[in-house]
Amino acid sequence: MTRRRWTLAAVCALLVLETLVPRRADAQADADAGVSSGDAGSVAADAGVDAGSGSEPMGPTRTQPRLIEAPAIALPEGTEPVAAGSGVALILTIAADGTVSDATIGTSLREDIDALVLASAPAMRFEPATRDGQPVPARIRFRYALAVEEVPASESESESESASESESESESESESESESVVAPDVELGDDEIASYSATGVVERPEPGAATRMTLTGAELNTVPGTFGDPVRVLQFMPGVARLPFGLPLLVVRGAGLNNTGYFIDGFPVPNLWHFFLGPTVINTNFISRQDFYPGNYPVRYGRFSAAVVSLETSAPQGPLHFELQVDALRAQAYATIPFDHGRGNLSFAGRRSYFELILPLISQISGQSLPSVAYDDYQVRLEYRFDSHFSGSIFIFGSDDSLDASSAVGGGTTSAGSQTSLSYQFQRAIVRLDWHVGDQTTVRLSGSLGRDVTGFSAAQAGMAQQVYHFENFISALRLDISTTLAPWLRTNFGIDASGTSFGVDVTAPVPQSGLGQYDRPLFDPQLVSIQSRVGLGTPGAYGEAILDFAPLEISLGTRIDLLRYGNYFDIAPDPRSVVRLHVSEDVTASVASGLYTQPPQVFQTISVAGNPHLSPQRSWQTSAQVEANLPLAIYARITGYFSYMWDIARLNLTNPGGGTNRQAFSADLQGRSYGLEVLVRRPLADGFYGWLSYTLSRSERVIPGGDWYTFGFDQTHILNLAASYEFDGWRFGASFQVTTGRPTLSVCATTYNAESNEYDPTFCDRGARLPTYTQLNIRIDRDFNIDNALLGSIYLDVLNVYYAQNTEAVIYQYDYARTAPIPGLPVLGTIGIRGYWEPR
Amino acid sequence: MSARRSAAWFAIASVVLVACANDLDREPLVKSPRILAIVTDPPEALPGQDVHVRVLAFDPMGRELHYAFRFCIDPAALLGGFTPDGSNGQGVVQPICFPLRADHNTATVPGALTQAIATQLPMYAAMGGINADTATAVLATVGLPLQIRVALSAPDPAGVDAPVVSGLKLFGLTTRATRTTNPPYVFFSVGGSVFLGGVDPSSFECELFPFSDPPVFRGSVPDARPGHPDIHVARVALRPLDDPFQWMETYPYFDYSSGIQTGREGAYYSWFTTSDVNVPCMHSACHTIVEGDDTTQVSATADPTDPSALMQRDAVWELPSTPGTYDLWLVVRDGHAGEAACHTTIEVTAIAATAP
Repeated sequence: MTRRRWTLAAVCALLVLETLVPRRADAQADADAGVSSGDAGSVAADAGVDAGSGSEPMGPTRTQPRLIEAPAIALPEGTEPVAAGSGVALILTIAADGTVSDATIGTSLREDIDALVLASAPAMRFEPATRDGQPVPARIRFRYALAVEEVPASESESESESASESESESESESESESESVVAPDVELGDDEIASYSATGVVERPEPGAATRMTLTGAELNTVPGTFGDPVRVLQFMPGVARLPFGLPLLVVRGAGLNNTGYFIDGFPVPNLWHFFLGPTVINTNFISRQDFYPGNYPVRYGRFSAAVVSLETSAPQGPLHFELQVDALRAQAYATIPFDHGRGNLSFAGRRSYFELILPLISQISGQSLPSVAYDDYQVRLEYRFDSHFSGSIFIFGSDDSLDASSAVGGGTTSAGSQTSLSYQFQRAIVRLDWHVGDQTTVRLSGSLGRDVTGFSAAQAGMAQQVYHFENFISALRLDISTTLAPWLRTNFGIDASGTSFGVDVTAPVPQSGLGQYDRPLFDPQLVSIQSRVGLGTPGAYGEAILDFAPLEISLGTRIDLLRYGNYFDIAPDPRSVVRLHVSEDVTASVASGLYTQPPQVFQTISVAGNPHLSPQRSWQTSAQVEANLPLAIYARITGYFSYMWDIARLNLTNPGGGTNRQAFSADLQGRSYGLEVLVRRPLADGFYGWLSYTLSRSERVIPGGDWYTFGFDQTHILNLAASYEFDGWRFGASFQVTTGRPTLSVCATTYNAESNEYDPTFCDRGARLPTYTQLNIRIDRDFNIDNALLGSIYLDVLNVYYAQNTEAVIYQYDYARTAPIPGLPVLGTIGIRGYWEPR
Repeated sequence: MSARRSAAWFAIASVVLVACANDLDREPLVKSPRILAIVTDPPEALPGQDVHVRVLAFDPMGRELHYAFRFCIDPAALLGGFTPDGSNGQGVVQPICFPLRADHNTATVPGALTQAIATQLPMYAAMGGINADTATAVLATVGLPLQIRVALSAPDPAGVDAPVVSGLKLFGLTTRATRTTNPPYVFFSVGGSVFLGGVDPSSFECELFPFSDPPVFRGSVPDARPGHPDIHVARVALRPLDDPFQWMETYPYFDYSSGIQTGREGAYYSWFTTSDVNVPCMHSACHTIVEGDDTTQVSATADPTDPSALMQRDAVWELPSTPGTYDLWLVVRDGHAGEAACHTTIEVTAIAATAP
């Protein structure tokens, strides 16, 4: 029954595809710009002109035009400035000799700009389209994206970066700009079709960071296994462990779940993704860049002891734009409205899942009780550029996730009185002001207000309800200054202050029986009720000097945080350094080392049941790396790292001083993690992209006086392969993941505890692991273009295609005598459509 | 924040997916050698007082079980907690144990030993890193948790005595004037028959209550639904009959900030059988709890339309598919070292199907 319905749906979808997608005569084709991020172009054939797609040797013998050069245009003095990233769409006819024989405006930007761009068109040069190896004329839709020319100081950096990666990414916020000269930042037509947001994995050396993976490029929207979410590509990056149950967090380089910070515009947010393999909590159209620092992150970030994911937002430049995406799991909408001749921009977005419509159907068919899942988010962003040196923005966003397993527990009659639910939500408002002071200095002042709420309740039959309710109010302020003091000396410094008021309202089982209370039966844990509010204040400052003695570059920085919470106060200086040697034009080597301090989670410091004296967690990270640009546009990087962690908080009931009061946490766990990471990537070119990511690692922990044992998320081998190829307007992609199973504990003996009516296990072997995990995902995309006005794609994304029955965890029998596997992801797929409209 | 959410996410994922683990045995079904109850009398003793220990155990293979008892003091757990032997709590002082003379399934901690513990308390406290004054205060107020450890063995196929199962039971040692006691008896009904346990303190056998009217249980199908054509789905209520509020006691304990609080015992009924128990119960739903306001502590299988509070404490036993004689145990715990238990056998016979 189910299969028939899905098959029917697929057939219908294909019919829709055939209806919406232009036929081959006016089909779309690749048009890699060479310097661009491999954007595929929309090539519409003139009468008698065949312009198919694909340029791979094994594909059809048709190739698309490739841009060779395009002239810069200069705006007359006194004209309105142009926002970086805005563009004019041209309809170009490329002759067989690569010249532009005809040009018309496809999408207008501004009358004077349109005229300048149109006037420059004849000077553009292309590598012509070919058919069976012979040049043929072609007509393409070509977007002349405008990038304000950079000042000379940043040119050298741009050049070195462009050698390997995309240039379509906007970095205007951190760069000085000239008002009168506008250089083309060429994006061929397909960028208008498929690139909705950040697009490619771009590794760009950052002076204060050992490893930075900047994720941009149209390809990120089509990575199989991500449901088209570019930020989810992070889960395939080196150093990132696979997490069970689609946990919306990251475990990086053997650190804990809470040791990776997620930042949006410099301010931390609780999570980046929604439940249940959900998308990023903000619409990715807002994301101008996403940086992932798997370790040795720069001093401007702090308070996390392992890694940082940073999303930088900006208002998309360009014309009025509406976008809608609908698939089997969710719907989302986005709109951007420019005003005041492009100086300002107002954007909205919203998203809503509809699992509540899907899951009951699956439950009914499968006979399995499934939880109720729902999420939604919203964003509003207002940005205004007062002049070329000063701009400001307000970004308000929020996210809400809920999961209710009331009807999923046990099944049958005994579930009637059971309820387990989880919800979390957060809201943030971020105000940002950016100045460019002269040519050498940029200043950003930003502030954030926010609220986080987490709720968890469990009420199984015959058991009093447990309720956890946490509410945070967060305020934060940042001042970030970057200035060049001399050709060989740049500095970054600033203030990063944060305060949190944390409210706890909990009715929960005590970690162990109270003093004078013996273990109650497991089915009736002793509940305690705790209401408390505590504060966490962490004003901090940072400074960094970048010494450029080419080919040697040295970054020396220190971050100082004042930690104040509970009964704890300390000044935590975190020195960090990176030394980078540009061995040749294509090879760079670097070493980095630094200290990272993270205050405990606030609920751990409450005076009742927590430990207000808890020390912050620290780690000393060291890494060495070699990266190289190889032939065939292949980028390769190999990184070795070692991280030592100490003062890690753990649940440990103690009686401080041997007295009768108790604390539930102590910061005495230590850890170490070391490994080797390899990334080999071929960015999008000729319709193809792919990468290999491999991590060999080991992460361990030790309790004082004990032996080192394997960290619960340790995975010795993590291999990710992803590849995608565009063929005749269709994009086919696959990704494959294989990881070592997580460690499990072997039980070698049990003792029946007559007090609690449960069995206390004795774990004797930490060497056992779950079976190896494998998963194959596929994705098919088909772009469409209706009269150059409504553009988009239809896609099918299927996870775990061959239904690998992976084990995510094991559940023990009541006496630990036997175990049963908890299965992982079944085959999970979605089909959807994503399109946008830009009124002419 | 993240760790807390991830823990909750794990908890939910586990709860949701537990339903997939249908091939695991449920706790009420006794298929392997089990300790079902360990009773210490009294559950809280004065220094110098004898403490009697009885173990209720069962081996479905019918082997003769051998019992070995130890009395232990765990310096690291003198203020609560429990450290199993050989656990991963490295660096923790191991419990100090004294073997007890066993008389089959019973043993006695002599008063001299409990007195010695109280006398030497400062030494044990120092071993556990506890202030002597704190230990003394605990002895005088909430009581020190001491342990009874029992190891059961049975002949293996080669006739060699081999370990089968081990258990642990706490009892309190306190100089407090009023000390808690065990639940006085076990009083319950199965179908239409009423059973009483604990009449003979030396025996764990239940007695068919003489006033059952009529004593329908033995030799017939208990409480099969009238006229139901299929015995496989016949269910009976396992129902405690006594009023636990008459015997539940209060006791002092230290809260997290060292304040003395008053706790109240509960009444926790656990049922075990050797037959199929096909009710797809979650852990808690296999038991009955009476604590505080019992209207809020309702068994999962309660009939919400039944006005009787006692009916709300039912656990449901789905009768075995094969007629025969089955063992049934009821264990009552009070949540503060008190325990009572009894065992009986139930004969299930087939009846002729009748029209509904």
